[in-house]
Amino acid sequence: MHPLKPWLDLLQEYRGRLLLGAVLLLLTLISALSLLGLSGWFITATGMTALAWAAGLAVTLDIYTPGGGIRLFALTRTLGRYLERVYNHDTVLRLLARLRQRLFSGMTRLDPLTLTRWRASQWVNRLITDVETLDNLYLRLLAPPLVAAVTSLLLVLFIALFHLQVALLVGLGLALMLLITTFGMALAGQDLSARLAWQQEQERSQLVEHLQGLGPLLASHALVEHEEQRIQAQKRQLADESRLQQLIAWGQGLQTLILQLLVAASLLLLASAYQQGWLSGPVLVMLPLALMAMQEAFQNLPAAFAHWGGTLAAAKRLNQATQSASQTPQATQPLTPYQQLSLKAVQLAYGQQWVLKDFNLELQRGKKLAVLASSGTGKSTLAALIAGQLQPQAGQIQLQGTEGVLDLKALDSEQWLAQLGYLTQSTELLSASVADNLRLARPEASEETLWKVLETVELAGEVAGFERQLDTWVGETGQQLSGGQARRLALARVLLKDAPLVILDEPFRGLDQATLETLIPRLDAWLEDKTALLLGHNPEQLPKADRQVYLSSL
Amino acid sequence: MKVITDQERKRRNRDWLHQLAAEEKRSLLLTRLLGVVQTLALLAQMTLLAWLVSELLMEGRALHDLALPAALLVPLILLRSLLQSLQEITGQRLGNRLRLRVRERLLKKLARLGPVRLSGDSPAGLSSQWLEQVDALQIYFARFLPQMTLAWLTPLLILVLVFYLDWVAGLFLLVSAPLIPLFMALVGWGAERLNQQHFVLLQRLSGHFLDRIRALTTLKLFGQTQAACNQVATATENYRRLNLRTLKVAFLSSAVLEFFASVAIAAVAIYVGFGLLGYLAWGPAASLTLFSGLLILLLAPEFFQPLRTLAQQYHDRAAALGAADSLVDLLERPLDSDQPDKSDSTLSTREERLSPWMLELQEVTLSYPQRGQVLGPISLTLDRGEALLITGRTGSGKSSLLHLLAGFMQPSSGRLRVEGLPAGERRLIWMHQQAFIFHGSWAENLRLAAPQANTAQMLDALQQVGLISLLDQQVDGLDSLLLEGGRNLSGGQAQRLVLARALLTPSRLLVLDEPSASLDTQATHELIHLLENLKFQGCTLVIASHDQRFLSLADRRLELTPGGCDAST
Repeated sequence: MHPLKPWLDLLQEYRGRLLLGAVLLLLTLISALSLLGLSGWFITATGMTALAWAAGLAVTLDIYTPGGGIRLFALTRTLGRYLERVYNHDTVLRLLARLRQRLFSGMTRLDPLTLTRWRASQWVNRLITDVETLDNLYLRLLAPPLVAAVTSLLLVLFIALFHLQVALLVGLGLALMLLITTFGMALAGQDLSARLAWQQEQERSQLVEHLQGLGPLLASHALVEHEEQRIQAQKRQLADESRLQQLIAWGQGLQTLILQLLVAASLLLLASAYQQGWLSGPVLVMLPLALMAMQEAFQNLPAAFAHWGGTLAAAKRLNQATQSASQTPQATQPLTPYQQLSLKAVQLAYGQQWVLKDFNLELQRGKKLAVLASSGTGKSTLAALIAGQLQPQAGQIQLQGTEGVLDLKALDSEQWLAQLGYLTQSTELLSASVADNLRLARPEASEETLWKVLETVELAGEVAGFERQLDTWVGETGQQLSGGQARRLALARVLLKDAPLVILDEPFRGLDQATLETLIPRLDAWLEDKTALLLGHNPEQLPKADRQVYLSSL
Repeated sequence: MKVITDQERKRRNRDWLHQLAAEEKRSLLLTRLLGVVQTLALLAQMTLLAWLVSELLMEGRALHDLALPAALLVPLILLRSLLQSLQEITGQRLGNRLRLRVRERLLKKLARLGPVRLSGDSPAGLSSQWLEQVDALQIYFARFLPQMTLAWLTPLLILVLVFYLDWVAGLFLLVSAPLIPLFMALVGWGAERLNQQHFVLLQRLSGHFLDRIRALTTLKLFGQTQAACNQVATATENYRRLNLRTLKVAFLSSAVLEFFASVAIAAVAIYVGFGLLGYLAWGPAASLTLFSGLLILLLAPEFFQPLRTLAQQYHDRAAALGAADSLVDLLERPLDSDQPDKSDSTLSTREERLSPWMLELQEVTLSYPQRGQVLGPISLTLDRGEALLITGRTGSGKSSLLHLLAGFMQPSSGRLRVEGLPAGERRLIWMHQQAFIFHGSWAENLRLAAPQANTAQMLDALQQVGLISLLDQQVDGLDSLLLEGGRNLSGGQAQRLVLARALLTPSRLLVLDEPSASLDTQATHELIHLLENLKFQGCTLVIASHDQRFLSLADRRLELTPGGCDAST
């Protein structure tokens, strides 16, 4: 299947709008052609009429019809252009909404491991850029060549009314031009433009690495060398960009060359017909002038099609993102009361690397279990497995109750998540207000409730100190919360949800000892009647557990 | 930091762009020149076309008589398209050179700002400045700046020719010429609105979307994905409605341009037609010929074309100005705002190269203009092969002291020597919580602080830190590839690799910031054991940690309390 297929299918939904947009484009272009052609015809006709009059011939010339035509085309060209721009931008914006919705709902079905990997490597930024590339698919790559082709065809038919050979020549010439500016450019620029996007992402991750290593590099006096590496990589990238720019520049030049040569050639051919007496003077001027106005139809094609490879690559990446996501089947079994959660011979590998191998674990209802391990030994994987965000490659995760055994895989995941409070290892806040972030957990919570839970995590004082209090915008674009503040806000969210099963992954990450000592007893009390899985490096940095398990690295 | 007004900011950004442009003065001139010559070729081509038609139709000359002048069209057309390509290439090349230069300057600036001052910036944000924002300058330099000149020069050239042909037709164009500045303002106004509303909103919308994707795990866990999906759609839909209202107005400015261009053609055609017929008894109309009339008609659209091109590129200017704003902020970020009060002691001569101490601090203090003294005075000495443990609560200045030792900052007063030299002049190994492994081979990673280290030395160092068996599993030995962030190593292995670097440096000085923060009990014990081994090999260790387990390792301990300290041995 062609990578652009799903996106073209999406365009189908807007068939009517797209067609009308293309018609407006066509109307504008034909007006431009007609305006110039007719003006040339008119001037020549008047000139020749005047000449005839001077020779004493009685010739009449209707000056009102062409004059009216000229005024009409001047008007339709202006109006057409305006309407076309407004209308087509409206369409593009509608598409934008649709494309984003589609990508987003596709990505909601991704498992957290893939998501985390993407976040780390800035994949998400890439995908956003890709969506923006495809927004413009219609306005850059679909409508213009189509409109150029239709206009060319109409022009050739019109010329054929007067002179078949010229029509043939112009037809061939314009076809060649269309081929060069679309297929030719796409083919020549394909590899280069597809590579550029990748290089850019590589550059990004390498620069992030460079910046993260600024301290170690500076201390080891290795910074200058590493800077040089970045600059060299930039030079290579710019050399590639330069090659693509040159391709476009030559494409544009070639297009001007072909068109102007066509104008000159058709003028001479028509002139010879004029001299043989079977073509009128005004037509001799009109046709080349109309042809000259075709410039407008072709001028943006070379640049748009030179980036064809990049567009294709963007579509491929997005397809991959949304298709890999849609494989997870929807489970529907309802949740029934259970006494014990157990993992049986669970296996999970990350590529070639084992994360969990033959792993067994039991968690009784109402008990608190601490799992202790270093970073990167699989404890977050364990949490994601229990939350149903990841599926084990072998083994089972079961809920054992009086009414039998339930497999987590078969369970309705919405129901399962609804009774789970999970604080993930990395803190994720929305770019939204403090209140919005908290209300993710309980949309109907009153302000009073929000303040209360903030007090529990020792954050009320700090939030009260912000100018806009609960309405303070947090996240990347808002007020910068310190790591500790963000962590406590995320913790407050889980407290607010007040679910019967709780997973806390390094709950006190980035908090100082004093805060930790205040929070532990409060959490102990809150966890009293709950089932809890507590993950961390050291037992002292976790709430009280009934049992401890050590996870060693594989 | 000095507060500057919006106006001053805008001027500062423009000045910066102009300074950059001045560095490529010659190429810019060449680009403009190519544009002007292209216009001349165009004028010649049109003149020749009009002349040919006039000779054919009015003078009734035979086609073969005109073969030679007609053949002249070919070189003119060739020249015109060649110049068009060359103008584009020259422009793009100068843009590429400028981008590279700006990137170089940014890198240098980032290095000078150093890790301490950059601690508040996200690496992702900085790298998008380095990539996207610098890219936003390209079209401004490559096309917009040359076009600025061509947008008035080309119409002027055409105007001169048209005036020569027929001054009334020239007046038609000239009447619209005073309108050109008005057009410019209209275009600018339209594009400015378009940018402020369109691009800012679009960016905000992308931000909203990006943020929801980043927080997808959280949204899922709280069962809010469907709500968020609807939000994404609603936000885009609202944006569309809001924006369309603005666009309708903004596009008017380009419609006005289009209108004038169309009307000029129509007016010229009708004027010339009536003139040729002799209906116009006034002015120069009587002397109009098909040649002059046709040429004026051919030139009328070209008169407006440069302006239309400029209008299309106007948003590139706005994008460049937007990028300049944040780039200049970074490039001109003062080095001393965060820098403690400086003393002259660090600049003293290097008289005592042969200090007997590995580390020597005399009455070292650190204070900030606003916050006052945050550290010291500290006096201590550390011998080769000794270990110093710095303890204290968060905010007591542990990290600041380490930054002083590494030379990222200078002490406000007192003397600080590392092997007899001011801090920062000796290579040392710095390790934070997460070990720094970069994308490159094992050898490149090991040679970070010791470019001269040979294979035998590297193997020996790996042996010391217990990584030799892992290396043996690698297909290409020391040339095997390590991924960024050490993704193909475990956390403990990455730490060991960093420790191996220390063994390869002559000074063998290791500075560790909270090395056990993400380790469990067993891994911490292994680390301590390894550090003991390194100490035995002659490494000097400075460890900042609140973890009491490092005490067993320490020869000296420095307990920091906010604003003071307590050293013991």
